[in-house]
Amino acid sequence: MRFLLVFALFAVGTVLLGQGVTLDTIGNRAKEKIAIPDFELKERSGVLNDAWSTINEVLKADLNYSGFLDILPPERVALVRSPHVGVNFEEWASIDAKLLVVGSIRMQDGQMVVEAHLYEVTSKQLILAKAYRGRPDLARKTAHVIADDIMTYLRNVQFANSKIIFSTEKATDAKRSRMNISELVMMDYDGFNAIPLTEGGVSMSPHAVRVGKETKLAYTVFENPNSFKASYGIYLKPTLLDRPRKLYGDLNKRATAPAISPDGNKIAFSIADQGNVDVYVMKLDGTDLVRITRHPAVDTNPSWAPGGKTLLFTSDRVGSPQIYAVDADGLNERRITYENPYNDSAVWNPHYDFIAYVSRFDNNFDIFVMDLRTGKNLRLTANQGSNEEPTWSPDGEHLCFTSNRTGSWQLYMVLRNGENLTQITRSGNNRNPVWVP
Amino acid sequence: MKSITFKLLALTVLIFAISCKKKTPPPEPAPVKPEPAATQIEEPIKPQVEETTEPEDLDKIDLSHIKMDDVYFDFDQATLRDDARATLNRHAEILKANPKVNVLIEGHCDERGTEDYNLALGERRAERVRSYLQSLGIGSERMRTISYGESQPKAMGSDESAWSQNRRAHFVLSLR
Repeated sequence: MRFLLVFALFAVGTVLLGQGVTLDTIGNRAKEKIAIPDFELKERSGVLNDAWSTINEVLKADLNYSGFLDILPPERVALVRSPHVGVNFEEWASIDAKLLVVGSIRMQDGQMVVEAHLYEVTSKQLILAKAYRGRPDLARKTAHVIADDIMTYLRNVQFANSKIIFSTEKATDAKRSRMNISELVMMDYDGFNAIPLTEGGVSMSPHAVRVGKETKLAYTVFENPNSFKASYGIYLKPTLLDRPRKLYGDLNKRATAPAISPDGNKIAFSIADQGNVDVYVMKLDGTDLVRITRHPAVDTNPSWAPGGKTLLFTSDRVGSPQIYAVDADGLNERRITYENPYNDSAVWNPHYDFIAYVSRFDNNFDIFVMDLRTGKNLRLTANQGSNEEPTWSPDGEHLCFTSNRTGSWQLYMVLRNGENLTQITRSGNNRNPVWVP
Repeated sequence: MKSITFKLLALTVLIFAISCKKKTPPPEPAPVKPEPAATQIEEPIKPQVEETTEPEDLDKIDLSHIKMDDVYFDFDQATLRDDARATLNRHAEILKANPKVNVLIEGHCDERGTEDYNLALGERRAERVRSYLQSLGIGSERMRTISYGESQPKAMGSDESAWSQNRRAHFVLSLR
């Protein structure tokens, strides 16, 4: 965010929204109607025109994805006189707008300056005003920052600048007599600005956490596929710019399913030792390996609770996969899911006591959210191909998952109440998403 | 003189018959060479075969001639079915008859389920096969296991006929 310089910041008034986010996972949440008329373009030039249309579009998309705002359609907004000549709150109230964003774009000293004002129509108050300076080609990023500021102010949540890391398969052989290349990619949460994180080879099951300004990335690499020395192990990039180094795994003790602890100090993963797969935890520097599960059944797919004191994992010790929890020291093992014979891929919400997981119905999987306090389940997908590998957004309000409903594996996101389903990727086969701030 | 010409003629006819369609058979008896050459070849071959003792002989094992069929599993299961045991009993005989052959046992799954769970399931399948072969007397030092999870389907498609082919243990052979 270094290239975006916030040079003016003042906030007026009080926040009327944002008190007590409801944890009810079932049913619709009340949405605030917000008017976002196109920003004022104070001068015209090719780059600035492009930036202007990008910011108008991206800001609305971000605030719409938030799930708690209802963007008034342009034809409603057109009923009111332009806010750029003066804001008349009665007129905005007449089209039911509760909130209003008024912005402008201009060039100053070779840089783009974007101003954004957030008004609360009901109290006739300016509640947030900020100016942003940056390069015009960073308009998309600028819009995400404005959206995050507005959401932070209204609900203390943000996700517009978050990233999704996932694996994408490159077919090398249509019949797949050999293993396909699988590379890791990072993109904006809305699917733009994808950049590769690995090149060639078979990389999969990424997991990443953000600690301070650094993103730590762990993933599985399948080594020497289609040979007598085939194996797989876990690699770590301490920061995204670092070269990967091997963390664990050899010919006889293969390792996968990495999950870095929220504080970035430990890693949970599974080791296959003579056919028995168990969950282990060790420090991220490779020392202090501790065995967490001791069962002849499969124990894998660990994930951390937000505080780092509990792990979720999948075990088939009752004959089919179910979700279990265990304290991070290996004690206090308990079963979490009972309702369906096949449950897997549990991930804990970063803010609430919800877990998302997948459950099998016939030959497809669907995404479920369980409220751990009540045990209530909400089914988020149904009758739309197979839906797998959920990951929570940093604000805990959204899930990203992969689905083969179009015939190939693509990434989707959805609000945790099942609304606002949006397809993010459209080509190749994309799996294993992990959502990072 | 007469007999010589006759003999020459007879030889030419013979050579002609042997060398089969030489368009302009030279009148000189040069083509006599093939006959002794044939006997010369036969004799040195035998000692050569005897000289090349076991190690070289084994190098000539063509692994592609050893056929070890895949064994199949039920959905989400690693237990060996009766048909799998019958197949593995034959595999054990093959491995006993070829003591210098090592085997990599690959565990595979169908596409349903997560990649990491299927990697684990494939590990269990490969291990079950390995321990069964070991119980039939195959030395553990000759066997390695690996799981490919769902990453290498044998049959494409998303139905039971494809899935049942993909839930398998596959055998890759190599010489020690």
